[in-house]
Amino acid sequence: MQATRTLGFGRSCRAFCTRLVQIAALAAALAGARGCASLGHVSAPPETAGAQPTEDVRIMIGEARDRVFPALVHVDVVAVENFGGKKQKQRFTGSGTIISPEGYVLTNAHVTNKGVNYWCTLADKRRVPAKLVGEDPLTDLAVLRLDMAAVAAATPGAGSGPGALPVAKFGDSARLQVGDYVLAMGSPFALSRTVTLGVVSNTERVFTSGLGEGEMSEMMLDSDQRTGLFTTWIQHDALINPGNSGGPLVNLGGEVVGVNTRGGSGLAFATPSNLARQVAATLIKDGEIKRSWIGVSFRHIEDTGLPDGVLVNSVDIDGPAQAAGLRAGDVVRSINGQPVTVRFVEQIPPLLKSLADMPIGSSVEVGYRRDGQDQTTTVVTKELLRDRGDETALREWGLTAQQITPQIARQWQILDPDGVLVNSTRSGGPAETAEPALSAGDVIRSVDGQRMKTMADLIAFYKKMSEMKDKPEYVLIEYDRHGKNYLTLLKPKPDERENPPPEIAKAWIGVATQAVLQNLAEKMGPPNEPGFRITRVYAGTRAADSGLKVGDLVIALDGDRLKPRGMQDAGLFARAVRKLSIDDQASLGVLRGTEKVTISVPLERTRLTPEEAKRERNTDFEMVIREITFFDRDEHQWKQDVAGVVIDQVESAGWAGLGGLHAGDLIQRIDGKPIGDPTAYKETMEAIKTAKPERVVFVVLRGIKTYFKFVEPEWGPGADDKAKNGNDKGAGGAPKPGDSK
Amino acid sequence: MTTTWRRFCTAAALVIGAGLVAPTAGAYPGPAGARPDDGAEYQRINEQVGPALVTVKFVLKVEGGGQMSDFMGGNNDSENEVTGVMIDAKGLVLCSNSQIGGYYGMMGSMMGGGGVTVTPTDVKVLIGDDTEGLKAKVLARDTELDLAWIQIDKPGDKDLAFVDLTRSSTATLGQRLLSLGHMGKFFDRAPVVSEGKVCGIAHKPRHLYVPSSDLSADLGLPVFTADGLVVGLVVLQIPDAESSEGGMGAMMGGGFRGGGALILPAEEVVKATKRARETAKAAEGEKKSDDGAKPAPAGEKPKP
Repeated sequence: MQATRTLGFGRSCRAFCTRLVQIAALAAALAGARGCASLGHVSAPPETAGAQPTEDVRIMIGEARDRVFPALVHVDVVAVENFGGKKQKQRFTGSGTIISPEGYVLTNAHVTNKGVNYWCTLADKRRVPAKLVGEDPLTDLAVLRLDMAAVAAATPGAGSGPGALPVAKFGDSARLQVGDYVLAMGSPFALSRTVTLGVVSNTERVFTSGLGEGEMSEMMLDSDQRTGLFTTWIQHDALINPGNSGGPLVNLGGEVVGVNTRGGSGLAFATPSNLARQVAATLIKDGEIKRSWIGVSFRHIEDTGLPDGVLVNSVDIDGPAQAAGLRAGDVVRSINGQPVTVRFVEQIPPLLKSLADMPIGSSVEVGYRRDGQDQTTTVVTKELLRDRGDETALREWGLTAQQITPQIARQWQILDPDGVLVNSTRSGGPAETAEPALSAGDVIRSVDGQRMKTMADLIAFYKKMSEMKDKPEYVLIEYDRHGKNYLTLLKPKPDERENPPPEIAKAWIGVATQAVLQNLAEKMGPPNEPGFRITRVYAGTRAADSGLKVGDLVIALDGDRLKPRGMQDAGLFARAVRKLSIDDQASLGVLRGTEKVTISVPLERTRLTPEEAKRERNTDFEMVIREITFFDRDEHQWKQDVAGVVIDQVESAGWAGLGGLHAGDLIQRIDGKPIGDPTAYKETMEAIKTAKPERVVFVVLRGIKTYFKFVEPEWGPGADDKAKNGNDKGAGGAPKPGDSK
Repeated sequence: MTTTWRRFCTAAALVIGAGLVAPTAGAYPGPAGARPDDGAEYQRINEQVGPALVTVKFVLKVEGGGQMSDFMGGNNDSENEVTGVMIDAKGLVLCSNSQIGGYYGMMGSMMGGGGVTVTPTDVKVLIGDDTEGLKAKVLARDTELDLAWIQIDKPGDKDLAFVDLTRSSTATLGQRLLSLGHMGKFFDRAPVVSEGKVCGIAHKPRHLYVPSSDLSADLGLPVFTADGLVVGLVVLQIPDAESSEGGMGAMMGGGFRGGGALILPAEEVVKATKRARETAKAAEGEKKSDDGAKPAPAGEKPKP
């Protein structure tokens, strides 16, 4: 199963678009290939004052383009998502900008989200692998680093030192004004190196809940990760579409003033460069962003009747603000002695950012008014933890699980966070067939009597159990659902493919026929007999040896008249044959022209259908092949000397899929070795697995043409979880399972 | 409307009509049709056939592409159970192939190739009030006749209760028929007797009895005469790809009786069972050959 966020609405997109309905005045949608993007249609180009820019402006646009365009990259991502009770690979695309000669690329976190492999296509069309340096979902920003050795290799003589790469410069986003010309660069719908022109529409856009409430709405990166908390967006009308995500917004000075992150339908939203520059620098330095948290949400005071300050809308349970005695309804009037007034919603992100930017553990003096009395308290900040917990797939249990973070606990209303959340189950898998069944939202508390406080506990148990020689038939799982405590037995089982059951063997004659009805028979001429006209005699069958020819009209079988009365009888001849016994001799009454002849045909067994064919699954290349059948030869008109195995399924983001192999391809050679049947295929693939080459060459027959496909597999342990060229650190720093098989 | 789509709609309509997708409401015969001796007949069929009815549990794996897969929501596993009938003392169970995933193949056939692979896995047979089940496998299937044979891996030493399909009888138009089925799991699979009549006899594409609509016999289960002789098995019969070339009209000819649950005569079931055993034996031989296990020469004991 695959999804390309370039062309589709992601889950976060759908959630966001739901909110759009509420924001009638601001129909905005996520902009990138990853995440969401458009509202479903392509907007008209922006109309600028005077219809056409002046010649001077045109020159400026060209110069601005030339300063940034060479540093523009197209980003390809293979991501692993945990859903449907298992890991599923997907391919996504986005855009990015090279921001340093060391090969750092700034893009969106929703582009790199859950990625395991990254490639960047540079402006000069070189495609090089990259690694993830760090992600900051709260600002939806991420940094990749190009493989500089690959950059050098792709351009002999260019080297990998300073000057080997074009670099874009940041501008000061605070200097942008409404009406300024801006260029959006990126890969809309994966169409790389695209530039569009527009003007800045608003420099302090904040998304609100609309419908008169006017409060800042909570934006989600996925269903479980907030984003945009600290962002005052640059709204512009340079056309962007899915695939533009992470691409630069450029001023006419040729400076990056924003990162295109959301938009569509003529509305585009970029993260200001001043925020992006700070986040990128920290990600490059530390690989992550650490922020302070005090555990309050604020509301601006417009329409509240309050003269100054900012209203505490809610206080998180067990958060620092609650510990310091702050309550919902308090009005904060000063922070560290500085007066604070948030009159408008646009002032909230900067306030949140100023608090988040304080060192973790800072003592913050908060002056507030309660019941008309001014009071002061000291709030000691804590680290703002990620919303999304680490995830994993426990394949033999048929479920995916997630660490419970404070945000997830709030979202799922989990009172006791010591446990592991089940976030999906595989249909028909062990978790779903347990009695009672586990389902998404359940919180696993213990397994076989052992407490499972964290994801690490569960993974350790699972790995230990997987390595046992004598595995228990069942595991006892204690879990909570909606405040009730349950027990169930789960029977672990590998998710393996089995061959379908054999179809019963029946008699068959190797010909194809058409029913000749009475009216057609009369038009064909004397003796005007209806019957079954042979349209093909299959080579290599007993029918071919018996002398049957195309054009022969079969009118009787073993003395019984065969007379089709309508097209509903088209299968009558074949059915009559199937009632006979294999290896019997069938006597066919045949009209050859006007002559009646009797032809004796030894019956043979029905041929194997593609559905019954023997299959082989290869987990390294993530594809399933099957043996070639008689019906494949018939459909493609392959002669007997055409050998190979047919690709039955290819995981689109698996190595075979990425290498361009398709379902239906006939694999004829692998690394020069002829592949005649599944056995030869299996032996060859096992030898390849042992040799672990960097590249494997498949020669496939597709239609009437052969194709050479160069597949670069990932070797090494934990192919399910580990990146080929990405980093292998789990979100939040907790360990990932080496292999969840 | 494309031809493929028309075929698909027809196939779906027939399958739904046959009660495969939409569960049939249990239209069991009421007392109005009862006769004075019905009680004894009902009790007899319950006692004689009841022990041979088993529950087949399995996980259906659907894989592949194309319209069929799209229709089913892509690759998909689902847990299911159907009622089957034991037909020998050594654990051979017969059930409807369409009920264990064969309808994908039938619909694919009607649509001219489904491009989807359907495999019943984790097969278990539950006998009596057993809840765990005995491990089993699908020995062979006949998509055309809608039959599937399931063999229990380790049936044990005791002979199992079974229905002897050779104790059979032909039927005539208007003849009374009895059948025994099971209610669902929620009702503890309570046995239910159903009664009806032969209201038609078809000779094409093969010899089939057409049951009256009040016989609510389940697919894959035997139908008996009032004397307890097997008339045949209830199977799903719909036009195949070859016969659907004439389009909707040809397929739907005869109105709603274009296909559905019909009774395959016991004699045909016995013949098919013989072929199924042969097919399974041949498949087993191929498997051994693939695994590199060669049979020991005659007279020589296999080495440990």
